[in-house]
Amino acid sequence: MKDSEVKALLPDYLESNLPAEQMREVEARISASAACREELDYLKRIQRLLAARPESAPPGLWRNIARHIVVEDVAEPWKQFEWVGKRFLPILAAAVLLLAVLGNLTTEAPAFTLEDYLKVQWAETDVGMLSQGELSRDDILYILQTR
Amino acid sequence: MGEDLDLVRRCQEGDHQAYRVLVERYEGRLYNLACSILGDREVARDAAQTAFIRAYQALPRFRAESGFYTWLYKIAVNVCLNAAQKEKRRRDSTSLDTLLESGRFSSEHLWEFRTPAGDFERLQLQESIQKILNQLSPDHRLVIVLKDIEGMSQEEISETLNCSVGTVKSRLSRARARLRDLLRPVYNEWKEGTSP
Repeated sequence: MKDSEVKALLPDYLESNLPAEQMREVEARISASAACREELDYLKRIQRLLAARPESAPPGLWRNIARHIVVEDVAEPWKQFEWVGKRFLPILAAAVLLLAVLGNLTTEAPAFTLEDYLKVQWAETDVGMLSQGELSRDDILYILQTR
Repeated sequence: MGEDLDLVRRCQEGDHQAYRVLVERYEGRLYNLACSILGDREVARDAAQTAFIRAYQALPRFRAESGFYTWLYKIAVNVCLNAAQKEKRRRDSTSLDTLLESGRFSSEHLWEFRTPAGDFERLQLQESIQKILNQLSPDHRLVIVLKDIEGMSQEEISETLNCSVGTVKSRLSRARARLRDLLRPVYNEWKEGTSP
């Protein structure tokens, strides 16, 4: 193998990404060639340099993030219950439907009294007399026939 | 990781304080990742913040198929990629030579590895590495950061970037070749200076 060929393989060699046979050939050439050794040293220094990048101190992002997410929750309060909605919405819908059906079966419509009917059909004075018991059965029949 | 998932569950139930713990746990790593990719502290800070906010918004869809940090990391890389596209026109064009000539750091900092002793040295080393990365295109910088700084495998990078392992390999190979070419004059100069 020529030096130029070995140099091209060195990045993969450094990561042991070459087949075993090629790894051995590269190793042999490195031992024999100062130029290849120097190139390998150069690549290792670049690797080490990048890996040595010191970490910065944490930037203290929470305050700004909190402002965003709290505002978001206030503006769209349902969002925090989104997961509940997705999981339980079908069950919730079924429950509401069931309650509505049961409600219709068990609840009677509000009673419409004779007095209510007469208020619509009769004059105000007749209703007043009826509620005070001043009209006889015949009076009532008469009124009904004449209206 | 189990503790992360417990915090995530509490967040999903609307507990902001649980999210605060997660932010404080990972903001340093995310910020450093963003700095390396974007090359600008202010832009990186904004990107890290955006990533945390997007993650919070997406939490109802988090299914714990991966760890929280892996999931957050993917969101952050995407945010950084978008920011890098926007920042493309405003790339730091200070060449490494110019920086070395300014005397703010020396080539010994680059090639003679030693653990930075104090804050000033740390900052210098950080700056010098960043200047090197800034010479690369965003695509090349990204794979170098993920592989050589973050220590991800090629498979992990392909999953994070939604591309094939082959694409990662070729991009990485081109990025490293570019890096080698960029640094070679500085390295040769240092080598000549140190040889007897």
